[in-house]
Amino acid sequence: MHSTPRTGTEEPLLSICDLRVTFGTPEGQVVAVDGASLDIHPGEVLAVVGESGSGKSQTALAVTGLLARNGTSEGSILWKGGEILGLPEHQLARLRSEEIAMVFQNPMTCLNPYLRISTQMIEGMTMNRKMTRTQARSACIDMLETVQIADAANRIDRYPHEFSGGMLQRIMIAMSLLRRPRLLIADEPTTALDVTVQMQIVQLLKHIRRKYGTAIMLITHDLGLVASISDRISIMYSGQIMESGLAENVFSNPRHPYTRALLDAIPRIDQNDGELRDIAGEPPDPASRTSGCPFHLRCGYRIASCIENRPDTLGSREHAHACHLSNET
Amino acid sequence: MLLQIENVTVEFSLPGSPARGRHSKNRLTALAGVSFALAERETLGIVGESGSGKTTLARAIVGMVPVQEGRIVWMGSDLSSTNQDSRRRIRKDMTMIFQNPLASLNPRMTIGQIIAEPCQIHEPGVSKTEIRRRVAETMEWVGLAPALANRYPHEFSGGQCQRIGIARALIARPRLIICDEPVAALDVSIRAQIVNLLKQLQDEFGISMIMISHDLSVIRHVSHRIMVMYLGHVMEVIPSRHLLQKSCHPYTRTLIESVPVPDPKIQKTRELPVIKSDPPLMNTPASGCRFATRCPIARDSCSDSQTALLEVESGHWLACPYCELPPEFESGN
Repeated sequence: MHSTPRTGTEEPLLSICDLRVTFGTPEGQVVAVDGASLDIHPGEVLAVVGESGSGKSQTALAVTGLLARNGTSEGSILWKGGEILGLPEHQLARLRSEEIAMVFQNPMTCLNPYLRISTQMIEGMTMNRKMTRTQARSACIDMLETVQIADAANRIDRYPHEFSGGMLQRIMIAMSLLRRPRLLIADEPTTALDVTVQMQIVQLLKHIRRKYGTAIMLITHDLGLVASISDRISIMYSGQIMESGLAENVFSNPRHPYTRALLDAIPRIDQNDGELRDIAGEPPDPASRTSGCPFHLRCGYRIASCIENRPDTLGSREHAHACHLSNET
Repeated sequence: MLLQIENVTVEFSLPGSPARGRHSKNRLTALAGVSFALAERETLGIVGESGSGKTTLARAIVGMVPVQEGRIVWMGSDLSSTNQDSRRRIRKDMTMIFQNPLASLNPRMTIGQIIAEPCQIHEPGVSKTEIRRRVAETMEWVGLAPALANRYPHEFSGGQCQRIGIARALIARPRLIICDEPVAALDVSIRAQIVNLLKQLQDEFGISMIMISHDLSVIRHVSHRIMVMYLGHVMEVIPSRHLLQKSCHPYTRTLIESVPVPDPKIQKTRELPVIKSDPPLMNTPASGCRFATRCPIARDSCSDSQTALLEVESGHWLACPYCELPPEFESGN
């Protein structure tokens, strides 16, 4: 099920096609990602938006080959045109260290509290690249300056607890950029941070994209954050992609009832909104997937075929969605 | 007035560095002379970044942290001079809802027991059947089926756990509910449900609320007035409906501008806030305005003396002598 026929001439950097991620658990099989397709072109910022359990993080982990041990992925993940799903571990490790970097939600838990920042940053540089410690150290200091850590030459020898959450997240981003990756996967990079600091991280990500041409896959539930930075959006629900397209298209003309409901459910700072329109019910449990459209249980526009058949994804790379209702009209 | 906070200061002692011995005089001022009043049926929103003292303020009101200076007056009686017994009676009227819904519920109690507990503590004479009836009634108010009363917290989702927390806060029919980040841990689609539920309960039962959050868009949506805090100080107090047009403290403006608008067209044209560095550490003493180190309009005099919180307009209090009213905020559409 190819959802997004390409209109651009350039080759996508990453192309995920009909990805299915399942976990074997004592209670049975849990389907985390259920036939998701998306692609990212060089230098592009793609936001993958979804609530908890929507499969957005598992999609990213499948790309980097970091799924939990009981997880299996099927489908196809092409990196610069070559299949990387099922690659042996040492090749995936090389990919992760050289081309695809990842930044996680909580920077404090990603750094070793016993080691200085310098030790942790330099380690990756000297390990499999012919670089001396002195060279690596000065490259690290340069990168810390790029992410606006003041007095980087001295601060690089501090321990993680001596930094604030926002600074640690900038350090994590600096670490991930050391090897000049082509793609940066940022999984909820600002969720643990204050709003003013969140803005700094957004500006930093934009700066990085301009300076290095790094493509960014931004995984988040925050539609405000998405609107500030992304070129394109994929909205995920229950392991499937409900709607995708250029950010302006999805925000100004949301076609899927779920996207519309999400946009109606958030209070906006710039408008005097009346009652928030909530979405009744709960996001579905990944352990019990329903047939048909996964959103049909909570959807106000449900018709008979929503319960029986899964809707096809129709549209282009600029704007596509999977909904029976709008497919008919 | 239901609740009056007068010049409340809360300090914590910090463990000293080993060289100076374990009991150093290192103090951290979490709240520095905070004052406000809360009327019946009013919702006051308290907003600020981490370390602004908003949670400490909530804890000071319910008596979970000791107050060093100032007075907390509940319906005319000073809480710091009341004894344990009357304090307990007052606690019946003041309840709290916490951020992490699952962590705030005892995993070994059924939700029926959890919801009933405040009733049993505050009204020991009430019969079991009456308690069961009240639990069922309260569960219905918050949108939970009473048949679920025998289940355990782990069987519920985050949004449902937050409803259980609200039911527990509601069963003793309080006059004030303090909500500490009630929706921060919830999914977007569930957030709106809980926000709407809180608003609806307030209308129905006439409860006053103190709503603490870092999310200005949620705060603005639910509150009548908004109090902006920074490092233990009140920066600005303003009626919610005037927040966008009339708030003028540089910190308030920074917060407003930092909240992204879920519309790429608007977001592209918005001016990004000029904010310097991270918040300073709380234990570094500052003589003047605490925001001076990050403020875009700071002058030399800002770091000299503490700025007083003055009423610049009816209901609008401001702790900055230099800011001007902002140009009309461009709203969407």
